Amino acid sequence: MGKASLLTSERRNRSARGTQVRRERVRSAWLFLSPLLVGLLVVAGWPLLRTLWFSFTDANLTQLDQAQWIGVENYLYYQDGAFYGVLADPDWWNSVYNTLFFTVITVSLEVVVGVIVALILNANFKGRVWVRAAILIPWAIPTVVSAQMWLWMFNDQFGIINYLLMGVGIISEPLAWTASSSLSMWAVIIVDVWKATPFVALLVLAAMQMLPSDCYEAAKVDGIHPMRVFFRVTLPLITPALLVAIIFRVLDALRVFDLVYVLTSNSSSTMTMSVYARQQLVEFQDVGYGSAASTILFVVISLIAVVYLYLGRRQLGISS
Amino acid sequence: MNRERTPDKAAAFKRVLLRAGFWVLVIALTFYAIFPFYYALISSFKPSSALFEVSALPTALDFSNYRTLFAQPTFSRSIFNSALVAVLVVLLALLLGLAAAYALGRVRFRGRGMVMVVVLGVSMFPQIAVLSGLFEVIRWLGIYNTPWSLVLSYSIFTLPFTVWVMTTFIRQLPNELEEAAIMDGATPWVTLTRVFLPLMVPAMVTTGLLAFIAAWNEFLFALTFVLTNEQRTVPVAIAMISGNSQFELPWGVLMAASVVVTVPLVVLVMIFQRRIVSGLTAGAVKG
Amino acid sequence: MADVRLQQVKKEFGGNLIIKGVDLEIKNGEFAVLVGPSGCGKSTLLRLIAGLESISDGELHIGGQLVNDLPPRERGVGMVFQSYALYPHMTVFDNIAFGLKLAGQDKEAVRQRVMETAKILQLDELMGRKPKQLSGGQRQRVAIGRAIARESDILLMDEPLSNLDAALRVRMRVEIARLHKLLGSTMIYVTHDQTEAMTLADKIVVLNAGHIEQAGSPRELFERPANTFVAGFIGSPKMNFFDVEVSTSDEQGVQIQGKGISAIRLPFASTGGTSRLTLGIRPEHMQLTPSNDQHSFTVSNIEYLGNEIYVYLLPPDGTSNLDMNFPVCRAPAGNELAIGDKVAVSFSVEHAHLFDGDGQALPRPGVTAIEC
Ligand SMILES: Nc1ncnc2c1ncn2[C@@H]1O[C@H](COP(=O)(O)OP(=O)(O)OP(=O)(O)O)[C@@H](O)[C@H]1O
Ligand SMILES: [Mg+2]
Repeated sequence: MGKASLLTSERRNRSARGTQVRRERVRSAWLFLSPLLVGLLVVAGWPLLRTLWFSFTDANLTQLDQAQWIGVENYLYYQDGAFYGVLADPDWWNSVYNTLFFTVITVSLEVVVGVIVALILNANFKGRVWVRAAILIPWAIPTVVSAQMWLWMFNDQFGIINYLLMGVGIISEPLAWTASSSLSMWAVIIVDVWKATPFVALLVLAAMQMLPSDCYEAAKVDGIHPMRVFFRVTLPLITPALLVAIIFRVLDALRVFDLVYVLTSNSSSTMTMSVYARQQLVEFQDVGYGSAASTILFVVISLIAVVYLYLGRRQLGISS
Repeated sequence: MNRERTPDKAAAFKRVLLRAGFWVLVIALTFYAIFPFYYALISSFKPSSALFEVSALPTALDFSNYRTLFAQPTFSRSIFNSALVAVLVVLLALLLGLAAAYALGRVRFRGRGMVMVVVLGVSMFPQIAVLSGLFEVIRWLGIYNTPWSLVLSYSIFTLPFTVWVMTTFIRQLPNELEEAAIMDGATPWVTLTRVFLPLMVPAMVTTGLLAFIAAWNEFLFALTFVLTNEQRTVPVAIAMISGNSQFELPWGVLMAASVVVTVPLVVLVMIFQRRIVSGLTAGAVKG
Repeated sequence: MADVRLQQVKKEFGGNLIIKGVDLEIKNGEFAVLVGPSGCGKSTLLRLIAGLESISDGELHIGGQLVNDLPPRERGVGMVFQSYALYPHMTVFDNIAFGLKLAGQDKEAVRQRVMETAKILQLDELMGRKPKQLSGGQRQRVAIGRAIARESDILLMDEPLSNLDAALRVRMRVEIARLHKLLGSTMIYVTHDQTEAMTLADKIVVLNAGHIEQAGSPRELFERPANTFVAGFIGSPKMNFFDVEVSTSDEQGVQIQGKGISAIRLPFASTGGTSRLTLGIRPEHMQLTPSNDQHSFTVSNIEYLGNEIYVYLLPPDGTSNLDMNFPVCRAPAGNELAIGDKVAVSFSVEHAHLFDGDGQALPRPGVTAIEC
């Protein structure tokens, strides 16, 4: 009796780990994952740790290996009645302000315009496929190239934008779109909205096309105003997709670099956190200081991502 | 819609207006989307003398800008570099991505959720946050100022994305297919390579395209990890085109270069728009 | 030898016991059919035998060998899936050959074996086609071909015909019976279709909520159901149940009486200790005769099926029995009954089934019918 029950419990333990097939599959799964994990470790995990480490050193780009630990001095320290470090640098706070301003404005505009574009594309009309292909073009053009194309259109003397605006009589003098400190941020925003709206529109469109058509028909039969239908039916149903689009856009906007760099180079009126960090890292060769700025940017982005993911976990389907 | 019973005149008029308004919107939208490209195109065909007479219509068909562009050996070279890097990045991402997608999409094991979160997390990394660390790794590997530095560093965004999208796709394949393979005595490796791989080709084309576009367009790493003209990729080459001063930028050549870089992408988008859209939305809208 | 023996086999999914200790023996070459309500665990049991799921507890022997921990390919089983699960990118030939190639057979042997299989299933013409280019019945045959190509001793089929239309289903049923004779392999077959179960099976296994209610030959199950579940499950329309009271019982038999059932003596030895029993009679075993008795049934509905009619009855007091199912009776189509008629029910005693309070069938001594 005792022996029999012993046998059964032993078998239970063995089976809890599954059949041989299952064990083989789990082993293979880790094997198949290992190149990915090694890859991510080399390009993401390890570099991130090194950046963190550099941010506590006086590392210099030309002599990375001679970095000395200096504690939090890159972030903030007090000496002779004044604060130093990234957190005491008005340029840094200016770039934080610019980044947040840029993020809020572009993402809001992209969401509004994106939903409108998606509504248009969701209608049934001839040539819809071509219009969809057309709006994919801004998305596909390299950022650097679109920046150059817009630079040419924004050109103060020979640019078509000034030409048209003056032709219509909105402005009397050519505007220095990318050089003027009050306009350049808006120039960047205009180009980013142009470039990123298709992404939002396509995500929203995909969500719209999965909506059940019968509730629309019911609403139509009941004669409900289309605006009401949109706010009461469509909007709630596409919210999950919209939230996904927003997080992608927010994270992209917070780390924006190439567009700003090419359109306005290191001008302080548009300098974002990434541009600031790269300037410190590469141009001033101050790896320690630049890494501190990068680390802060990383922390900000992670916090936003974590909060957002936590709130919208289900929409992203991680739990499944 | 056209089966209204009483042809009320006011209502009919309103409908026509709505219809017209809609088409105005559609045309405005299309115009807005393609105008910058169109304008770059017509500007690139203007001889430098005509460049400064602003006009929204094509006024000339002159190839001198293109001749100047390709007379610079570094530009053709940078196109080659871009293509080489993008192709290698795509192959690497597909190879690792397919294997990982099988593991994440078809096998239940402890730690799977964790890996998914890590993958998603890496896709959200700001590139700048790994710049100094990656710079060190690249120098240590001795691939600074070579295309390999870019192949390696681009993995930080192509890998998570490829894995994520392919996992979504591989989950859609029926379970019984894999069980049939198990009954036939297939190991996971055989199942992956001989049953799933052929069925994943469409998904791989989609993800590959997106990875290609992302790699072709990348700027920050290409600007940082490559030093010399001969090794540069096109986006950096284009950003670096400049005249002697702000006012002497060779706009015609710049627009020609922009067109040359963009045309392959426009062609890809036209041919594969359906796939691109499904790939863009696969990771996000599902689930 | 490929007999299959299950001893107290259990399976749990996340703490839920789905298979609750199944004991079953299927002899070499036997055709066993698993039936039961949806969700009772038929597919799970089949997948346990195949090795696609791990056994939580108990033992599974195939050909005398304990195979709990063997992978499917070493168990000598082939499986036909409900959705066929053909490899969409492979031709019919490659679909059938895949398993053989993986088993490491050489090219010529594989080709020969595939061709033999194709001949058996009349697939010769279709070898170059992809699954997309096949009809449902042809896909079904390829799926079977894939399962038998490796000459497995045991064939498992999970509702293999459920995706086919009615006519094709009958043809494939005959085909499967022929295959079974030809190959002589042990078959374990899951179905929802009573006709398939009755016609194909050497042994029917009735599952309910993860345990076996009864296993036996179709005839055994039909004529001597072990309990009300099996009695109600096998046969269509299902068996009628009536609440009855025991008035007397002795070695001669049991005297019972119920609403609309006049006193009758049935040849059962004991009453199982209770005075309230359930009487079961199949619809085809009830005879209806016009009656004016106030204790008779009322015809509430008649369904015309062409060759026969189903007559639905309302019990004397107007309430239905415990299942809220009205008794139904099969009668020849020429019958003159009309809705509202009063009818008396009669049946011959050898077709009566008696169940005790727990629904278990009362033992029936080998006594022939006694009229009273
Ligand atoms: N992988 C699983 N995880 C959790 N529960 C499962 C799993 N597979 C099956 N079950 C549960 O086990 C029970 C039996 O399922 P099974 O598929 O064996 O039923 P079935 O008898 O084949 O039903 P049907 O006739 O509908 O095919 C169901 O309640 C089902 O929900
Ligand atoms: Mg089932």
